[in-house]
Amino acid sequence: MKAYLGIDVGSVTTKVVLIDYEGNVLWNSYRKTMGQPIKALQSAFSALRKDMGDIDIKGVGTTGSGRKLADHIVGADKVKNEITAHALSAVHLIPNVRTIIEIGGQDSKLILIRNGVVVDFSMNTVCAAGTGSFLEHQATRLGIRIEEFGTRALASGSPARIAGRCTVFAESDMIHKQQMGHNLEDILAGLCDALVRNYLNNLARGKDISGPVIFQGGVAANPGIRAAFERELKKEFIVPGYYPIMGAIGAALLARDTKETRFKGLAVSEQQLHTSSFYCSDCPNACGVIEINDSETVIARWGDSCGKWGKDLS
Amino acid sequence: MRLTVPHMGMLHIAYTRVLRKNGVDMVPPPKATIKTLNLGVKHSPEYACLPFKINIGNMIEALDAGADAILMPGGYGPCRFGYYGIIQEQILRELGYTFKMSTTDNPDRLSDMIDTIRDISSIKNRFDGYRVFFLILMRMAALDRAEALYHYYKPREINTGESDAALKQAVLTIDLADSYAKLLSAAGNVKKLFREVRIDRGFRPLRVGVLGEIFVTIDPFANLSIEKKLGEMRVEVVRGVWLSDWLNDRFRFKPFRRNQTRLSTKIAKGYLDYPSGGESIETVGKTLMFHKKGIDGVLHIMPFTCMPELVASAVIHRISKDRDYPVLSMIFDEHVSEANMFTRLEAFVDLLERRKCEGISRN
Repeated sequence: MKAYLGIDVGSVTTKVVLIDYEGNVLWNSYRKTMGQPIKALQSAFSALRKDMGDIDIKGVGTTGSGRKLADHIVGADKVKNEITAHALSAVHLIPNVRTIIEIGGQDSKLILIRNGVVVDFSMNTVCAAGTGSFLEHQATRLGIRIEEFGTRALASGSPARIAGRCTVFAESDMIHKQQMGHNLEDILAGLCDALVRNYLNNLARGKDISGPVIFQGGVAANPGIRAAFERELKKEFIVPGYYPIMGAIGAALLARDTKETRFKGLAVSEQQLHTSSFYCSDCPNACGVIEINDSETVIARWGDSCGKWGKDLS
Repeated sequence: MRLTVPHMGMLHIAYTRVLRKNGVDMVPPPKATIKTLNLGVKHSPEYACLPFKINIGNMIEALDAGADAILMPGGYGPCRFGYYGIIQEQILRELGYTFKMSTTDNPDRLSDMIDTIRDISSIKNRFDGYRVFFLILMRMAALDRAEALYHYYKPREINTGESDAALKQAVLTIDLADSYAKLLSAAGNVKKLFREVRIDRGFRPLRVGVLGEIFVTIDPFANLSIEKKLGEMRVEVVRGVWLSDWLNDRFRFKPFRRNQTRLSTKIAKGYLDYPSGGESIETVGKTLMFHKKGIDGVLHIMPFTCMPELVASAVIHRISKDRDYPVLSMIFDEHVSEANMFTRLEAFVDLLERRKCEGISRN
């Protein structure tokens, strides 16, 4: 059987999936990056090896903010941005999809699809308001686990109205509401509403959101947010079963037309990989150069704007 | 007097050697680096635009390198820019620098430019002033032509980096041509340089129109070398704003080139009837022009807090909707996140590619 690997190294979580040629998911893993993408990737690989044995992998695709890093480590055939990867997997799953809402750890995206092709997209630029990290931060502050955030929010009778334009203001407004005596459920539901409002104001301005709408990315796990979107959009609204790993599936789908894979094999999980960085002092740009070492040998280097450190290697 | 002028794209290459030859002791600012930007950001008002901040950084570094006079285009400007020279002078004086500051009163009027040249150089004769000024303009036009060739060759090159090397060599060739006769033969040599780049002749790359505020659009340091990035993604850049066009609109030195501002104003009618400052009317007019010419999409570049381009951005997104034409606006300042920028750029190129394929299959 031909199997294809998709890797999505995100800011907060690392996703690895294995699919067959038809796009059926054979195996998947979803784990926290914990600031150590290489470790996360290696542990996912050893789990894959344990569950599936030494399976013959015909192609590898990487995506997510760590896509280049992942490429250097595993040897990828396709390195694609998250927007394209998410669109591809959504269209694969629901061919007539017209809108994709994707909210991850630190990015949120809106992708418009017509006839299976991306026609427009927007992505949050500088502000992290309305992303997973913000919700997680607030959950910690309120002393609840992120997993119960949504269900608690659903129990609210009248959501508190919280200013959602900016995370800093949202937080101070939330504290204000809490001191006024609103209960926790109402504040949580209010936060969900604020996040959705913020998302629509920032990304959907002037864009035509028509159904079917598909909601993916880690934040889709939160039923409170799902309910808030449904209330706001009043459209056919789908959360796919594989919502958190859709990016990785997209990357794997992209890798399907690989002829000869560059993949270094699952044994990468056994390598003694570590990264180090230094500031180049050859000009005042002072680029931070990052290198990956396999025990003592440098296997990849990047980050230099002139490209001379990377060139030294090959 | 040791004179410096803040950088703008390759403008310094056009004038430095010629002015030096005519008795001006030029101290061009060191090539902009992160240090330049940090200096600029530290000493500029937060809401000034990126060009202002890079200017300040350039000026400080040039003064530290021994310059004692600054020439800054000014007068009534196309936008807030007209006022920049005055504020920059004040900022630098408060930092304790002593220097002579000249701002041109009206950068749109030829006689003012000639007066400025006579003022700073050993040229006293008015006719010689014209001769030198037009040589600088021609050199600028030659540099722009070399860059346009680069835009054509880069996405088609077979050996990565060959067209970058050709551009580097071309710029040097033009730099050394310090008379009209030499410039003429340099132009031929530049073409030869690019003809030596091995390209894939059958390849039809995507074409992306690049438009927007002129400083950030033409300056690779300000826009994170976005044109080179597009070239590496095998996309042909069709740039809509050129410094030599800007100069030609004011000083008419290219007899066969239409006035681009007037042309854009004509095309933009119905969408933007009056210029709203800066390059806004060019941005709108040329977006419509590119659409008509069949350019695959438009990348719109602007600095943060740029009012003229913000107006243009709203208008061109309307055009995008009306004509189903892909447009991506990118805003640059010192906080720009490279990862986010390139993710969006890549996705935009993917979008254009898919559209193109679908278009072919439909016919």
